[in-house]
Amino acid sequence: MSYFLMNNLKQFAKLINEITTKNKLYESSVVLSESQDFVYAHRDELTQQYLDQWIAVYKKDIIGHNKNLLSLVRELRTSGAPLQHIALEMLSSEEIPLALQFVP
Amino acid sequence: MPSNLSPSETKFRFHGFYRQGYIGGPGRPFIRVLVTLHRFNISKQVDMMVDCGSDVTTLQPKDTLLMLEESQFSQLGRPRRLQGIGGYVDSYTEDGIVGFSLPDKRICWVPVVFDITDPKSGSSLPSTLGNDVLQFGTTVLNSTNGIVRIELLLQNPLITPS
Repeated sequence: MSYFLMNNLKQFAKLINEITTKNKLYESSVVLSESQDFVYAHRDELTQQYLDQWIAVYKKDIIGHNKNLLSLVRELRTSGAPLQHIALEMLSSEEIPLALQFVP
Repeated sequence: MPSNLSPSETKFRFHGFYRQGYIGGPGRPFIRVLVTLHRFNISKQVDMMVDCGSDVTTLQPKDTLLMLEESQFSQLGRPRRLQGIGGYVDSYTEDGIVGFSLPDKRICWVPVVFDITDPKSGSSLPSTLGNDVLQFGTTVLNSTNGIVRIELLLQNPLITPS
């Protein structure tokens, strides 16, 4: 379904409101911002401690780390961690190429 | 002074920030947005790198694995391939919307066809806001002064309170 073509904006707005309410989006965004901003503010020291690993941050705590992202997320799900509030970050010391291009 | 906007267009301005990608590296422009995948009834805040050179807006595993169960990736839309400097990446397309925060705490929602990178790809990239969205306006980047400003010209945008 393309909402570019959807005329009923009110219906769309209702749908979005239902989803964001169900996910407690605005409340969880406040906590997630705290988690993500902690990573940004402490990236250098975290990189030295967890070099070339993924870390999971909840507020100001490192609640998990692993070299494999899928394994880390599986551990978080198993432990019942609040995924909506967690920031994940790869602490790499090397430059990552970032250009992307669609290949038809 | 005459406006260069058509009568049905409204200009919206959103602000981002610069963050380092790695120790000693250059600052990269980011914007904090809300992402909703309505087919999965899921929404999440995501920090997206502003990438005018990317054809598509992408959601990367560091964000999608917190939104979707691993089994749900097989339910995503049409698979396709993205080319990056490091090679090709398998991905899926999925309809969704990106929400930008307005200064009055309302949210301006823009429909997007996300390119969702295969979580088994090993990608450690940030999600990116690409030219499929940025082409509808002006992007101002000034690393020296830490300015990331996106102005979009939108027709009948969906605005909701936060």
